[in-house]
Amino acid sequence: MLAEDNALLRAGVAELLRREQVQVVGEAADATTLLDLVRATKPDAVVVDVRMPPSHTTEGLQAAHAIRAEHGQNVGILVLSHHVEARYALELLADGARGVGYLLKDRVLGPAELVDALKRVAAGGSAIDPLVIEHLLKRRRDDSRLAALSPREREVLALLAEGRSNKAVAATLFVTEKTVEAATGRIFNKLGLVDTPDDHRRVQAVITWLRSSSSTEG
Amino acid sequence: MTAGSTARLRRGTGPLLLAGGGVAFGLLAQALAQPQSGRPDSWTLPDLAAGWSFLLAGLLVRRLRPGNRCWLLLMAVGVTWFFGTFAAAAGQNASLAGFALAGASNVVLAWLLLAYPTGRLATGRERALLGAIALLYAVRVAARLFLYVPPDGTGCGCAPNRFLPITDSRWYDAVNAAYPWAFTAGFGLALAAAVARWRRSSRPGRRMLIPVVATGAVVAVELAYSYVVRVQSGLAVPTANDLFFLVAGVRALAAGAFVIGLRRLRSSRSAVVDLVGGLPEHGAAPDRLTAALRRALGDPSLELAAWSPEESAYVRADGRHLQPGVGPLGRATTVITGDDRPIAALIHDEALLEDPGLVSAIVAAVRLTADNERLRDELEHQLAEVAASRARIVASGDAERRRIERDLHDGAQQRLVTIALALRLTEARMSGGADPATRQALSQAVKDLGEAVDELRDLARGIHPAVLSESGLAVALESLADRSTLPVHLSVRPFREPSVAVATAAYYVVAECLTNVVKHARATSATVNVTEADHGLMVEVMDDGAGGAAPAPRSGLTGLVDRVTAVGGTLSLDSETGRGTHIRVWLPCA
Repeated sequence: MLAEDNALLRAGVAELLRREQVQVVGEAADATTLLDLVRATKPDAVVVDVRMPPSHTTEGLQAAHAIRAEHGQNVGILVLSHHVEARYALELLADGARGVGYLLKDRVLGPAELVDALKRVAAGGSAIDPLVIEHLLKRRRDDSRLAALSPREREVLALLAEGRSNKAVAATLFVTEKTVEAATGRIFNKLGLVDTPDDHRRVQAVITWLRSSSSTEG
Repeated sequence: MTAGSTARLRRGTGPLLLAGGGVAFGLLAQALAQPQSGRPDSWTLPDLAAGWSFLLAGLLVRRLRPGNRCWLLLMAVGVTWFFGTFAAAAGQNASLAGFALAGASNVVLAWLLLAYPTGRLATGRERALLGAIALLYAVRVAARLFLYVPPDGTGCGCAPNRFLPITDSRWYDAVNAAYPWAFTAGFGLALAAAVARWRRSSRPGRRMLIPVVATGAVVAVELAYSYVVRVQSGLAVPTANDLFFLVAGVRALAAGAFVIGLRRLRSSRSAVVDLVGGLPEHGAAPDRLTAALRRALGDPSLELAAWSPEESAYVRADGRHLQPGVGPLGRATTVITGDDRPIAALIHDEALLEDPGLVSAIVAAVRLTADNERLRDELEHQLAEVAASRARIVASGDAERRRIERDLHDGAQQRLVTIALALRLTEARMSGGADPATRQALSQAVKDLGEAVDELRDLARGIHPAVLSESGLAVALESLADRSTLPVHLSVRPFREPSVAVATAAYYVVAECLTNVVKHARATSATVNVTEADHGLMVEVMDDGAGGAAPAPRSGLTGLVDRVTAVGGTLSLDSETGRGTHIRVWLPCA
């Protein structure tokens, strides 16, 4: 399922996804059509643009919340946005939500990345844009616990935060899964977090930790 | 010499010439007077003193109160006083004239008493009374000229009646016996009119009238007494030294009383000067102005009715409309206008009208206050308009930036992504068949387009932070802190989302300050605090850098001050060299 108000872009993304063996069961140009189509076709996942008519602000996010409320975790949601603001991604992850992702819009240009995120979301995992994670990490750069991590450990942390499994991290960094597991253990230790084999809960823990850096009270 | 100064010279010299003439006239009278005509030399000085004291009083009043006509009457009293002296002159003609005209100064004195303090006869009754007194006097003058038969060896050494050879003195005797009483009665009526005026008056009027009424009473008694003595002795003019000295002394006293009375009037004018100095400084409520006027004029019953353009009427303190021309006896209404539009009406003691100068001073004071208020109102109105228009300019600038950002986002950015996508698809479709160089070029084009999109995203954010209008100030500030190259401690206490204008101002304050910290401060970290404070938002940005920041023209800091004041906020800067910079901005939230 694909929701994007720009018809050309929507068609392009749809074709890209089909080429990557993803079945596109519906295309919507606005939030209302999207909700109707989701009800009718029950897709595995939805790709939705944040900005859609009528006000072109955060209709996509609201639609995502509506889908979540209506269909629970049966429908994975991948939000596309032009904004790197971490707040949007964190909002999606709130309340222990599974099967959500937040990618910058230009990721559609690298179809592999888009499809990978979509698959993770459809399977109930998470996918957070690397640039968003980069910002979150930057915010905590003066944190002594983060400073205690080695560069490799920080790389692992970033990939974990994006929602990748140990296996995927290992593949990305060209190391064995065991190495990643060991690094994960050390990272969690240093950050004072409890390690868990559940990928999703692990992402939550890491994101929550990163998010706690923001002293925004409210 | 200009026309103006010529006029001033004339105004100044006229009374002096008149007084000089009076002095000379007095001296002439003394020179002609003969001791053998029943006029001892010891009378010369008291006689001159009595006459000249009125001349001096006239000059003084002329100086003190240039607009008042009393001075002329005072001088007339002084000059006519010497008529009686000529009765003792050696020459027959002069002697007869003096004899006939003696007592003229009493008539003028009665006139003065009636006309005081303005110098004008206000009512028909006063004019009638003065006419009656003048008629009495004229009858006596005629009687002395035509009916008098000088008895031998008595009285003055007057010439015999030269106009009519009348030998029967009964006519003259009748007039001569009746005149003193009739005149004393007339003078008494003039005094009664002054007393009535005194009773009607409030404090300012009474202060002026008291000395004159008091000496008027003394003069009346003196007139009656001297007539009694003279009638008893059968003489036309007093012969006893003591009596003459008494008469002369009383006249000199009366002259002084008029000066003192009119001087007191002046002191109430200086009270108006005090009033102008002590006018309420701001937002002069009518009741405060009324209190000030009452104090200055000593009239506790004074009322101020302000003009209400809505009701087209003068509205009194109790809300009633002022009925023009209707008022209790003794009350007068003075209307105050400025630039041909009504300002207010004063309801006051009519005694105040006896001094037009005083009234015009009050009117000027009230008009000044009203003009002040009006100008202040206009100024405040204009300032509010300027502030509003400045806020509108900033707001429209912000709206324009928002529009450009949206256009970039929905237009160019989307288009670039779409093109890149099309290229990517083309690349995918030709996979296998195409030559590697073409695919390489396509791939590079997609990559370049991706970078262009990134750059465009940053550009759009610089023009307007979309996150601000989409998710509010707190999120936008978080995003700012995230993107800063310095560590930023952000502390945002919960606040009600402010208006777009205030939120935008707060955002740019933090953005500009953080940019400055990175550029100039050589700081290791910055702290941003946002709290709700005093019906507004308090935004503080602190750093641990070099300090010494100061707003310069065209600098970012000056731009911030403009932006903050445009929404009615305040900015304070504390940037001591070596102690970091602390910027505190308060923005109002309606």
